[in-house]
Amino acid sequence: MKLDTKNLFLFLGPAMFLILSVFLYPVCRTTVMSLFDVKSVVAPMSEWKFVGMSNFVSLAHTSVFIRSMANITKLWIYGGLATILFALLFAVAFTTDLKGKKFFRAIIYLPNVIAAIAVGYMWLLYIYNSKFGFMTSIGKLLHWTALEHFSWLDNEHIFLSMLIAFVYGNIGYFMLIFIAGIERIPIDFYEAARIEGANVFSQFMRITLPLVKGVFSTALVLWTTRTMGFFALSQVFQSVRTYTPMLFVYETLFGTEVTQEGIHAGLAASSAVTMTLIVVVVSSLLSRLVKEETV
Amino acid sequence: MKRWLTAVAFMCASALFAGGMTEQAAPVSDSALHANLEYWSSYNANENQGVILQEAADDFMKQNPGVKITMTFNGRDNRTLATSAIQAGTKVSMMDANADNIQVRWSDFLLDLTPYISQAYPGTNGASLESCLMPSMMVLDRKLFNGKIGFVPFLPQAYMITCNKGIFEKCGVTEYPKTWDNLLATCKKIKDAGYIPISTDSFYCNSWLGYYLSRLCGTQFVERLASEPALWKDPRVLEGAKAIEQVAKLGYFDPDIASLVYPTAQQNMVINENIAMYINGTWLPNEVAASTSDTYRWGFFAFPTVPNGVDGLESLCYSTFGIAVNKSCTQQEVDAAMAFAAFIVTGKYDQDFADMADAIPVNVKSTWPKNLEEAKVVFDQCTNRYPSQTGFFLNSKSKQVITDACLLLMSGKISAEEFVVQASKF
Repeated sequence: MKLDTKNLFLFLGPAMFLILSVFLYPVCRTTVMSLFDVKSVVAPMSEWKFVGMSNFVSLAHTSVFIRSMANITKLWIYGGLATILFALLFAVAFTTDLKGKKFFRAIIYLPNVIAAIAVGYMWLLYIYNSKFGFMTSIGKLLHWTALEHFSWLDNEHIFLSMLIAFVYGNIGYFMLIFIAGIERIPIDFYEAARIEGANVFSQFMRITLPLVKGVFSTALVLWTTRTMGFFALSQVFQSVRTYTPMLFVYETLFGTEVTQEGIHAGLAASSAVTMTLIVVVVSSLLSRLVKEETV
Repeated sequence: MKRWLTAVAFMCASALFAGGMTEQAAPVSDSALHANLEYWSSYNANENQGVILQEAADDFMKQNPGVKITMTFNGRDNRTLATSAIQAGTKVSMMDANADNIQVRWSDFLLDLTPYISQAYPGTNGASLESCLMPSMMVLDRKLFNGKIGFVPFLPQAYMITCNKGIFEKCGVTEYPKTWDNLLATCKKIKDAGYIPISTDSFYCNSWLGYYLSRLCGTQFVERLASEPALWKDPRVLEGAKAIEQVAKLGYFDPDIASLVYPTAQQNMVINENIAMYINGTWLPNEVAASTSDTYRWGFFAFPTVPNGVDGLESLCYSTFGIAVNKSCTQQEVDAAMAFAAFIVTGKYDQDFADMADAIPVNVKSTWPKNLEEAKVVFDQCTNRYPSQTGFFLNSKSKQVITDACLLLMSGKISAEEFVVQASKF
């Protein structure tokens, strides 16, 4: 069949319609809402009151939002480094002839199929609990006093504890992305390198790493969007140090069970727009910085 | 083959005949109610409260064949889901939520129930519906809706000091502390006996200071504190913080308090059975029932009075869930909805909430659950209402900042002066 303009529209039409209606429309509505004083997210537009950029100005003066942005930046940098590093390590290990690699792949991916809130409470109640948590038990077993008495959940360490849980939950996802990238590299490259006497480290540095650069770019963009959407663990590890912009949006939009003040759909929308802009800018910069090398 | 077909035909005919008989045998209702109701609930279908609501709906439909009730259990997100659904045009005839949520989020959609609350219903034995319900809940209802009735209250809740009665008895504490000094003396006895006097967690910890300041300055002051950072310079705030700091210095708070994230403290309380006091709601016994031993005995008492305070034991953080009716309902739907609401709060099901979910019954004739007997004493003396979990919970922008600072103060990591600075940074 000839691919003319009519056929192109015929095939792309349904997908475009869905994208426009379920993605573009909410984005546009949220953007417009960010410029208005709106009581509820579904309030009719006739009730909206135009306030210009004042929601954004108010956002810049909202202490918890500023702290949440600082938290998310730390989470993006430290969490990103740890996740990408471990994911790459596991991806390299599981693309060799390692025995039982499929089993280990599944184990590492497992947290991705469990609800984030359940994973969060697992960490909170079974790993970090200061009385009978896994960390405390390990400390006791090894007679390692510092670990046994380490307060994982106090104000100073709660961010670190949440970061570990977040990284743990994401390694499997990014590992699969890297595995897909590594498996695209022709085996001949490695055979030739081995014949030339290259060791495993050299093969990784000179073949694997350059040829998965494009995957890095994708992984970084995905990491950025996942971090900005970070929410569930932030609700479980309740502290100002673990407060994130998405939680701010949720609480500003819907409040809590007994909240009476602070509910403001316009302010929540301006926060969402700010985050979207950050994701777009960061993703564009990353895509430019990390150029793909084709095989 | 013929025989087989005959047998099948006979069975079908028998089934049809039996069906017809069953229909004929069903009690004929004289109910004049005719409506299709959509009930959106803040409970989950598998929670005791949700199960009882569903049973009540089934029973009501059986007694009123002209009424069809479709229950939708949304959990606590109902407060937001129902708002969005109604604004988007979805039919929601009745919905339940916490009283404060009903007022803040649903006021625009609510039918004024004032004329209906004074009517008699089958379960009220000729009396008005209002006369069957806890007076304090009706006062709250009218207070929230400027003298009108916005909802039919059910499942009341209060927030106070919960305790392990066994520990109190072992330590020789025969009377609950009524003043702040009494409380400190009680804590000393408990600590000397080797127990942890007070525990809390990262969610509920601000209640100690919240209650203290409410007693000292009144709830309106605390509610303003949650929204006005400048007000934290008031010397009474430092006075309250100093009182909490003293408790921390005396070692009456849980030694692990700095790292107790909700729900660890409440689980520790019933599993380890070495924690004497914890501020929480009357819903706690039901919430931790699965972890609680059969011999555990719950105690409840009012937050004590504080030196130079303006409020006493008559002031209590309490609220209730309520059943609201959508003003877009037809008259037939309103009649059926009110009859169903009355059916829930006046009949067997109000008692079922108490018996099966350890909940406070709203009907004055129902019997309170054994676990909450002492909470009833506190409720009975209450004449002044504080918000559900003190004024510190009312503003989502400041709540977490104040809570974090409270936890640091209670764990002895910061002084009262540092606390005031830190808690006001929102």
